[in-house]
Amino acid sequence: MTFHERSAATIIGALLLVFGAYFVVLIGGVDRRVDDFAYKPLLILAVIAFTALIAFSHVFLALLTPNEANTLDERDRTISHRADQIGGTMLGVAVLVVISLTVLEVAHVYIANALLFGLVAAQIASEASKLWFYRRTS
Amino acid sequence: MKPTRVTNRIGQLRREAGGVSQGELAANVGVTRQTLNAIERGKYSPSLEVAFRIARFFDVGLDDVFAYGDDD
Repeated sequence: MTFHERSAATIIGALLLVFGAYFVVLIGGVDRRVDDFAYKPLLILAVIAFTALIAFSHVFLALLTPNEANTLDERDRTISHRADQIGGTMLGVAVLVVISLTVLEVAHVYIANALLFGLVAAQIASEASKLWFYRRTS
Repeated sequence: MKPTRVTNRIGQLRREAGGVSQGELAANVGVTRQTLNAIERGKYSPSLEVAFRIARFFDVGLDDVFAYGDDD
């Protein structure tokens, strides 16, 4: 596994761990209304946790394979470009959903979290595509 | 990314050149060893520029390194 494959796998893991936990906590309580929940502190905490996790894990990965960490050749760029296209398509769908929610005048909490869910899902799709393309071309 | 129909003789040329390693060739043409391995195994089709760099490394023509598979 190259640095870039490990990086993609790490990002997927961190997204699932941090934002999976975030959404479980957000929608976890059946006995309370989601729009009453003070989601902003939890969201800020999740973003800080995700950023720290990604930074530390990438420093560790770079120490494992220092010669690959800053190397990006044409295959890496092609794979990254195609994976970003897939992620971008998913993000586009998410934006359409969010626009629909906005037009329907849904509460802000749902709009903000639908957008966040779209961002996370798009990033997971992009990173998973990278892994798939690396596997297919190696 | 579709499988490529471009075939190559990189492995044979490396052996004929006295056992040039994939890493050495990769460093000379500006790709990672993993990418060169993917090219050599026909899993990834290189850009024209990298293809020319590989041919130049072995001091042969592009046709001596790469060929395009038959339609059949």
